[in-house]
Amino acid sequence: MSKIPDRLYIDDKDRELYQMLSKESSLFRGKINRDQFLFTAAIGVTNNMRIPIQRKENWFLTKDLRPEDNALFNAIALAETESTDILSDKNEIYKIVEEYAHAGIKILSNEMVSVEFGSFHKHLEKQLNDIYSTLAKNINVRNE
Amino acid sequence: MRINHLKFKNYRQFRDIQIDLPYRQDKNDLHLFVGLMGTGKTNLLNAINWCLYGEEPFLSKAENQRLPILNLATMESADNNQQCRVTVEISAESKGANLTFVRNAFIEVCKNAGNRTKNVKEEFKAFLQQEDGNNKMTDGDAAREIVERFVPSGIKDFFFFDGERLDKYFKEATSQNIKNAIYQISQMNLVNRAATHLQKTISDLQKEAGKASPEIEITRKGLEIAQTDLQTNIDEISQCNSQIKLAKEKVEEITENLRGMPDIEQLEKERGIIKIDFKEKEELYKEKLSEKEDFLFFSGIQMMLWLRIEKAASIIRDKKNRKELPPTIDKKLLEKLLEDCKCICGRDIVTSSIEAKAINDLLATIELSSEVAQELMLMENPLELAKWKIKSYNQENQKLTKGVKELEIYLRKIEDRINEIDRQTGGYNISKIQSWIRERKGYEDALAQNHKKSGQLELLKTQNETRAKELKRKLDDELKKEDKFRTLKDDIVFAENSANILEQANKTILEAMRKEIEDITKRKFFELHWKKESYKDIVVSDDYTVSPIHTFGYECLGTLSGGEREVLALSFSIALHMVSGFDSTIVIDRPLAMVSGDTRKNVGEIFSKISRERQIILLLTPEDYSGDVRSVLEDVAGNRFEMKLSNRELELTLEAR
Repeated sequence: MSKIPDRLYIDDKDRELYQMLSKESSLFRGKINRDQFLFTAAIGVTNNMRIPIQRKENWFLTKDLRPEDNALFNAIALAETESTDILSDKNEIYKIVEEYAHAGIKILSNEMVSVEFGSFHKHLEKQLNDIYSTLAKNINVRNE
Repeated sequence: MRINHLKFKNYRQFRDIQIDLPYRQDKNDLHLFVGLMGTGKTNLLNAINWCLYGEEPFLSKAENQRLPILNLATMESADNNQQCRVTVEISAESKGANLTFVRNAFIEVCKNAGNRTKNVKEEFKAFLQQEDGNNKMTDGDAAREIVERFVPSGIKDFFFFDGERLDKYFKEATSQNIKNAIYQISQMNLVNRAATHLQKTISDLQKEAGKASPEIEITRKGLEIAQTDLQTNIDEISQCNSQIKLAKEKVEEITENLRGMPDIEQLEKERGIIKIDFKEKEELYKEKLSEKEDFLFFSGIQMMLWLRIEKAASIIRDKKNRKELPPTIDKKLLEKLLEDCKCICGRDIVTSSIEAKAINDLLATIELSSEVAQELMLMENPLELAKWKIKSYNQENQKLTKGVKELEIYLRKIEDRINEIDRQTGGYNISKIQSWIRERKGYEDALAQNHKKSGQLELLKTQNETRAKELKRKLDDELKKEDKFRTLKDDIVFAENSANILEQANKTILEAMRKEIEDITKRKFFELHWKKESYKDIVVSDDYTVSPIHTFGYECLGTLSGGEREVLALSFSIALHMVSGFDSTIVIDRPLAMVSGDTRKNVGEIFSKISRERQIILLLTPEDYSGDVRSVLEDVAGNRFEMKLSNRELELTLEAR
């Protein structure tokens, strides 16, 4: 059995993007690295885009992950590999989410540029409403 | 006093001008000056005032908004520190005597200080033609006395009018001026001086009696104190009443100024309150918005991972359905079997046996499954929670959006109200209006205080009157007791009777003058007014407040039109002139400023009528002197001058028409 990793990484080139978004967008302002990472990983997933990391850079420690965060990471990896075996390989799970986050931060920063300044939340809300509408049909939740 | 010539040197727009106003037998003594705004009409009125009284009452009130008295073209061509002379000269005649008044101001031009001017010296001279035909020159106070003899400063407002200010003509302060002027005109000062002298004589005689009797002295002193107190009461009541009148007038004047203006005080107060509310709600809005943005952020993670969450949850569900979760074989039990080399049934297990290999194989499988199973078990609840959150996304988002929107609408409403207040107050001089409101509040307070004070003083006055009467009766009784005081008593009675007669005379003369002024005002008003049926009387009260009485019996000064007020003012002025014996030229700036419609022609006809008897100078704009007015005045006017500015609008030129 390989050693369980103690931290998660981003591509060293992404640090600047994270910092820029933390400074210029209220989306990332006040959010810790873990939450920013979760968000970018989710963007990568929803856009179905993974990009391998070239040069790793520390981003946060795995001890900071909450059970719900681990559950989401596991869900990403499980759906990705369609095998429960992946759950015993934390290295692979983290590698998958790191790659999604790497793709996600690029997508996000591009979207930020294309959206009018200060209106990203509206853009996000619209996207989420669209997702919800689709979900509502599929999972038969009532759109209240 | 009739003006024959006016000479100007370097006075404002009048750089070097002489205006001759000859009387022509075939025309009325009417002289018209027609010019656009800014050509110098009001300054002609100012010039006459400045020459005679050393003041320019029709300039802008704000000192810093005034141009220098020195003609600007002269100032421009002057050298640095050069002294220039400003002169206005009025040549006139009155009851056969020729008069000339000259006022000079010596102005230094400081070119190096941005063309500032410094008034170095001012002098005033009066030349009065003597019986031998020679002119006698006087200056200083003596010259001013001559002015007072012909055109007293106290009643100058009744010679030199500003038509645009006619609305304020019959205000309380003006009636006080009239009263003072009447006092001056009727030479009541002489009567008063005699009355004061008699009072002193009575007091001296009483003192003399007091020396001879200590009892009389005590009563006399008491009487003296009571009379002094009474006089103090009377003076204070008089002052109080003046203050009441002044405050009333000021309140009305300021209220008039504020008419149609926004209630700045209230609006500013409201603005202050809603600004605070705005800040509080803005903070709340930011909090709500931030809450919503955080919600979107964290919900976003779950929503975007929805498919993955759903898939993982479905795998867990399958595992559970297949009873793989939780696991059925205990890993620790298998490990103990190998360690003890004993099977569950009690048989020994040899390390290399088939049984041992089977347990090891099973253990290897279970080890993997157990870790995975544990992860799956740990995932179950968080994923279910995430699913629940995703399902309630819409409801939660709507709730948060509603909160944000409500605050947005509220803030917009506040902003709209602030804008509305700004719009209402925009274009107004807020500090001026606020200062008016404060001023009015001050006068209202003063009015209330003085009313209260007046009541208290009246009560004190009654008490002091009673005290003085009792002491007087006591003093009379004591004087009667002793024969030795008989002569003294007779002298006192004589002096008192004389003082009473003077007091009566004072009242009679003043009443007679008031009545005469009232009669003439009434006669002239009905003679001049074109709506003779509308009014039945003109009343001039003891304090010289002029009140027209409508045919239906009510006092109606407030409802008089601009033209009617002008007729009333002119009638009253003529009455004042006739009674006082002062027959000065009447100069009116913009006499038709407050007059509109058909009334303009009527007022024009009135000037035509009055100018048959006395000199009238009218200062008009071309609009004032349009068709209807021109048709009435053009043929009867002795002179008409057109006022124009030349030399880069720094100098006035006059063209006689």
